[in-house]
Amino acid sequence: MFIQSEIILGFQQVIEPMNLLYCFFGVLMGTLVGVLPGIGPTATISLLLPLALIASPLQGIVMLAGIYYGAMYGGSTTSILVNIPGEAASVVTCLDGYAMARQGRAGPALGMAAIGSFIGGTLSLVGLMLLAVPLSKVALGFGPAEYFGLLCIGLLLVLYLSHGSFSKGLTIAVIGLLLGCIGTDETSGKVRFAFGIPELYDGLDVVPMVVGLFGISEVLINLGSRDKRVTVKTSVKNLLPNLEDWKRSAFPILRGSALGFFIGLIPGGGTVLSSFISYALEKKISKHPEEFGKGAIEGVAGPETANNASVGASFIPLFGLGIPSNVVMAILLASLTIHGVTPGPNFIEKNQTFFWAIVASMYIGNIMLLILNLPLVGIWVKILKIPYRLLFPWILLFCMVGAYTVNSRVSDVLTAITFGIFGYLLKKLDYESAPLALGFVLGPMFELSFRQTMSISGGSLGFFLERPVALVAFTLSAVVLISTFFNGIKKIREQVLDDPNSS
Amino acid sequence: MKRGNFIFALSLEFIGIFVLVYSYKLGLQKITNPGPGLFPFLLGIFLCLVVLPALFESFKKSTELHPVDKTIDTQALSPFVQLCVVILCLFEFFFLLEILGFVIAIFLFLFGLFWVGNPGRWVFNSLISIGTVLVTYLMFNTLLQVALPLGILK
Repeated sequence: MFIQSEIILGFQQVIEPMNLLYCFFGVLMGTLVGVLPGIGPTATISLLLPLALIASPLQGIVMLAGIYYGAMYGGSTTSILVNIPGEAASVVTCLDGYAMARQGRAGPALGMAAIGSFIGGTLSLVGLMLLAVPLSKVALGFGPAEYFGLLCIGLLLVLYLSHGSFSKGLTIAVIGLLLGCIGTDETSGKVRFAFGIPELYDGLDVVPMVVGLFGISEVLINLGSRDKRVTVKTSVKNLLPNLEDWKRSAFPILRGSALGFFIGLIPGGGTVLSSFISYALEKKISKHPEEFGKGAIEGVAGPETANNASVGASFIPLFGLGIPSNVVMAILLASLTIHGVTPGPNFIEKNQTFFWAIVASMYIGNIMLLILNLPLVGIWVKILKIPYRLLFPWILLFCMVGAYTVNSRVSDVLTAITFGIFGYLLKKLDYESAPLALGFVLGPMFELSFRQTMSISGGSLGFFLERPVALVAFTLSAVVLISTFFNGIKKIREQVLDDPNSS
Repeated sequence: MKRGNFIFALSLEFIGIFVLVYSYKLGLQKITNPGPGLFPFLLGIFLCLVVLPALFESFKKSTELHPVDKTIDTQALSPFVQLCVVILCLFEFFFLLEILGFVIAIFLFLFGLFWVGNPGRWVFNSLISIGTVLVTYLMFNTLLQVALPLGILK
């Protein structure tokens, strides 16, 4: 009854025209960037962050969340029709989606991807409603030691589960944590790492930083890429799957929803991992594994459902604990903090209407996406044909204007350019830029919880181990670090043994 | 990019050492009452340590490598030129925004960027740049009420 009345309150809040408009704009932009290869949801959220800061906190977060789950819907369109994933979570959809399109079944593939996404997204919201409140109540008993432990394991898991090198990811995360130290130290009042530059006394601004890191660098890295997109020549009519398709997809959709939800809860789990695991699971338990890769609809339904289900779940650690589970959530956290809203254990209790309005907006957003993606698929196919050489100047325009308009400071433009070039270099050197943003956002939280724990414990590091939650978190962190260390040694040993010149 | 990896990892190692010295000077104080330098100091130690595998790996690979093929592919020059022009346009916007004002700075910025994608199509690039400037100015200045610098158009 409690949830019922609260969600009704949320719907009442969100159905105001301006809130609906922001929700629609968010899902529309999400679908658009999902469709267009070369720009992902993280870059778009970074680009539209200045706009979210002009709006009210609710409108801003509704729009940014809409971009995130909207991109998961749109990503499947390019995977199915062009064999190019619009974003990373739709990579596996290429395998069977494109094969279906070549067999003249693009319609049912697109239809099932959209329906699966809708079901996965909606079911994960039910999970969000049921889990976020109890989790925040448990988290009320957490002290700084627990937070420090959770932040450690959260960050390490994000790096461990990401596709790049762990040590490189950790290096960049430490750089991010150090960047978070720039500015005036709140406890002592001393200015750190500002080197006499007044603009740095309040620390680096997150907006120009992420605009550069994800927006500008993305364009720079894509400049040399060839602009060839061959859309499969097939009818995209008959979007509704037939009875046989439904029979084959029903259980993959249900399994994808559950799997995506639980993977989304894990820091670093996210959309990409959930879609890959769902595909592997469906292939493993299928009676016809030989059909996978040749147009099996289960290979579209399962992963597309799973990546949407993980989006809803990733909001649970953010709202319940105040800890972002991936870089998108870190940007959302930064956006909320700038608005003066701090997610954490007290967040839901203190901002009930706000929280339930966000949940309600996601229900509405999912329905909007179903409408946008099924009947309007023809328009998205046409948008796919816009050449990148015409798109990138507009993307950079948004980056520059967005970076400037947040504080009307030209120095923010320089920050964005600097991080854009830095992000480009990172990508060229096979480093990921997401840990930098994550480390930057988490840095002040890390330092605060560390200092508080040291003060309370009288400087005893053993205090961390006297608290069960912190102990579990540190044990897991140690397991992750040790296993990565031994894997690294094993790799080096193998390289040495394989090297003919080594002896 | 092996040499690049080595230079980058080495730079990070130096940054780590710099952070150690800088944060030590800031004041570490006691562990019971951490000073402003303690947390960055610990991060500095951590940075110096975590860079080591990348440094070792890049150094190892760079010594194993055969001499780098220096033949220049004329077609591969194009993305590099594109990259240089785009970075130049970004800095043009930064330097000229407050001097020339938003309208002129953004026109030059867009014209340069569209030229990168469509070299030689002067009329098309000019028209699309002017159109985009007008739409952007109206959107930010009139619709969103954001004050944009006027520069010499004051």
